[in-house]
Amino acid sequence: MTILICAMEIIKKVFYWVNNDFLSAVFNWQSLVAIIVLGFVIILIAICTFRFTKNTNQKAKCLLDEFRHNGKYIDGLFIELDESKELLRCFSLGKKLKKKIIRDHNEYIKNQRLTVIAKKEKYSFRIPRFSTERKIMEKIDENTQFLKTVSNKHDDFSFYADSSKREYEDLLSILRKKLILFKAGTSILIGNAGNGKTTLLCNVAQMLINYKCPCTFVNSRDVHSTLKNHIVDLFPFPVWIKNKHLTKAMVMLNVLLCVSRKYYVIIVDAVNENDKDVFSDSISEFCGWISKYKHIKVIFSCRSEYYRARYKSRFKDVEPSPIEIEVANSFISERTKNNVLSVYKKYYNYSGNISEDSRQRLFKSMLLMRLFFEVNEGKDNDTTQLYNHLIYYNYIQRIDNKLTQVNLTDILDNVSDIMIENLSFDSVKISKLNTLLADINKILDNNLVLSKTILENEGYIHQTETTVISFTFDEIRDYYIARRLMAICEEKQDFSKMFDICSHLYDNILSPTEGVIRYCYFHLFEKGFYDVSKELLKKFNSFDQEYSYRNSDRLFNTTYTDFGLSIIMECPREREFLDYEKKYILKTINCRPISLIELLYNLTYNEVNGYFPDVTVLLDSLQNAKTSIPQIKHYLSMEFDSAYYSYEPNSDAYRSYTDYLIMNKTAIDENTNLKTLIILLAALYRNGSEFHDLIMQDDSYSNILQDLITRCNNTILHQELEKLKTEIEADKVALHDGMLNILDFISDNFE
Amino acid sequence: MKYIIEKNSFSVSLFVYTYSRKINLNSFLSFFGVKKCTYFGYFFSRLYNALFCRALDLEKEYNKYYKKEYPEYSDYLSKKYNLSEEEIKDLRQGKIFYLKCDSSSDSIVNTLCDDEFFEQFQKYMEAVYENQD
Repeated sequence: MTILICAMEIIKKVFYWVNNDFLSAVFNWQSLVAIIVLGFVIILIAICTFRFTKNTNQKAKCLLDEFRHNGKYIDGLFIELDESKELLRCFSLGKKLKKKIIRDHNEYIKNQRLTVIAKKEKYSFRIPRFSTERKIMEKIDENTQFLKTVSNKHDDFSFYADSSKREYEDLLSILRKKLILFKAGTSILIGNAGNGKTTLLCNVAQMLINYKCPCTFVNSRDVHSTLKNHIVDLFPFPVWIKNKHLTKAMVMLNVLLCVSRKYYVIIVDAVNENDKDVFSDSISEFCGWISKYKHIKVIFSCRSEYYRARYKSRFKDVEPSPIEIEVANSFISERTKNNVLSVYKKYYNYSGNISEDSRQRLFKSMLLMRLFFEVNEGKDNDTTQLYNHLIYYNYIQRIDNKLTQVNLTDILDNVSDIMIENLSFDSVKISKLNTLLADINKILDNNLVLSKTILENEGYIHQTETTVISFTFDEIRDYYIARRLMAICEEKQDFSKMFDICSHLYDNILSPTEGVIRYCYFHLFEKGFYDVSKELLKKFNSFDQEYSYRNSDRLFNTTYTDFGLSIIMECPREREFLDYEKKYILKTINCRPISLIELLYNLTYNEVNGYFPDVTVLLDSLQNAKTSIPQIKHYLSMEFDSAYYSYEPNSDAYRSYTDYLIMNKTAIDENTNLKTLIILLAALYRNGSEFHDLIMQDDSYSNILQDLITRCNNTILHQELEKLKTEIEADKVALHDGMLNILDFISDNFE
Repeated sequence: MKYIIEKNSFSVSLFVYTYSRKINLNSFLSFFGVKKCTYFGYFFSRLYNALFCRALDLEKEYNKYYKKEYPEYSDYLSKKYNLSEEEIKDLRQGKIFYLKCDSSSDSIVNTLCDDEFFEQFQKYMEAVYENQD
């Protein structure tokens, strides 16, 4: 009761004070003026921030539109492949994501095994919800320290929670990086050519525009003075402010941004594409200048090799040191791959199917992916085999048709001619080209095939740099060199030049060897120069492909160990193999029996999916080849053994193949010979242990055996098959032995 | 109630489309007939943690952090979480719960997450949602 009376008294006094003292104090004329001034200042701040954001974003939008127009950035195709976008979000939006980071951490740690240990030690990993960045960092350090202490303290820790500890430490390191990015003033996006740096930056710029955060987007090539001057020119300040009061204006801007809790992000794309010294020298000065203002940040993007060779040193003196973010460097999940493909298909209106093999090749480079879909826009043909050279050819034609003033083919011819002449295939000095620098720059702006690179010559006395033109990918270079060689040779009807160059490459094991020989063969075959192609295959078939893979960024990954065989099988053709090719296949099987397994593996897959070349090619090549049977038997036995004891990830394809054989009885008609049987059994057996379950559950497999038994004229084989069937029905493990018995029989009877 | 389970030899990812507060450790353990403070109770707690502790309420997260960036909710699901069009259609119904767990570092979880477990797990999820209705 007394408390209630007291409370009533206090409320009365407050009302009295508000009604008399406070109101009379507030509503005198001085206070009124102060309130009006304050309101005016607030409105002024809001207007200034709004105007600044609007003007800067307008310019960023213009550049984005230009990129969209050139096809450099396509909104619909952007997908977050890895964490790089999230890291850039943390960098450009800053504290807005702080709570998310804390929540993610606390959710993660909530039920981990480490928490059980921590409870015993009366410790908590939890980061308080409203912690400041400094507190979060301290807590992360504290948690790391605790993990170290506790793992040393408990002998059984490694058994109990070592894996959880590693996982948690990874999470902490990501958290640490995100926190550093909140505060960092400069970050550098690094990645290889064509893996989506510009696309990512465009997307970040669009994101900032959507968030109504001020943003300036600059393409390095447009910078002709120092970076600072160029950026200042873009500021929407009156000229007299830029000239006389820039520092004051920047301080004001920083205050405005601080009040509105926003960051102004300056994005400088592709610093490696501007070779002017005045630009490169000004980078560190610009970073130093910007670092004075906490709410202004810069993102640079640069190709990995340039960054290491040239730009890393330029960022050395920048304080605080810039944060490096690598793009698309990590593993891409199957779900992401499916999504990327469906998005590309939808965007380019491509409705065909893409085979697994082609899919794998496409994901080796986002650039190849882009070229592939650009070339196949609006089509509905299935892609069973990806012929990279056809993609390059069609792409170059497309660009040539688009460009009116300059000719891409001429420049490409020029570059490859110089490479062939000098027998140097890495790059060509820009000064050696017969084209104007302006035209080269025009071409570089509009194509994805050629790019400019810096070549460093390290000397004992001084280091020099030369600007050179190179092909974006080794494989495009190989294709174009082969194309030029063929053009020269076809014109003269003399192929000695081609043989000379190939011999030089082959003898010195140079990086273009494999690609150039391969593409020369494809071309010769297509044009019907069969004698020359035969000679080429004979001369250069034993190239060590492994060496080549280790030393280049080649996109194709052949499934055949033998180089000659890989050329024959991957050559685009109608349904026809020449006699010398069939002989080569047979010879390879005899000399290198593992080739048979590779052929079986790939051709049965093609057979299942209706692709060419299929099993018929192998059967044709094996006609009258009695000598190959012992090898077949030997290696199939080995293969069966390994399949029996190991997991076969591609079993679905083989299961489909057997289904296909069951559905299409023509494959096992009267002409079925033992070789077909071998292939069938091999295909069946590649299922390994899975096949046992299948055979027990599904009568159709027993039926197929029964079918073979009925058709078999050979008494001994008939008996063997009967025996196999009975044994399988009784005991599924018998399949392995039964298969080997049949192979024994084949081996004995066909030698 | 719909959900997808992606399972390979390295990780288990679970996408639950509808959110229910009835998913908790106690209901999980009691469904599988395991007592909390026992040897198997400990294993199943680990399994539960691996499946559920990194759960995200996608819709909530979208509204809070990504709405301005991705004006369309479907864009957010497709571009950030790589969900297919069909999955997005399903997700559109009701509140959304997204789970992604990587059990690669926990051998016990990998062992317990076999096909038989997932059959039972499906029943558990169905039971949770039936009770909710």
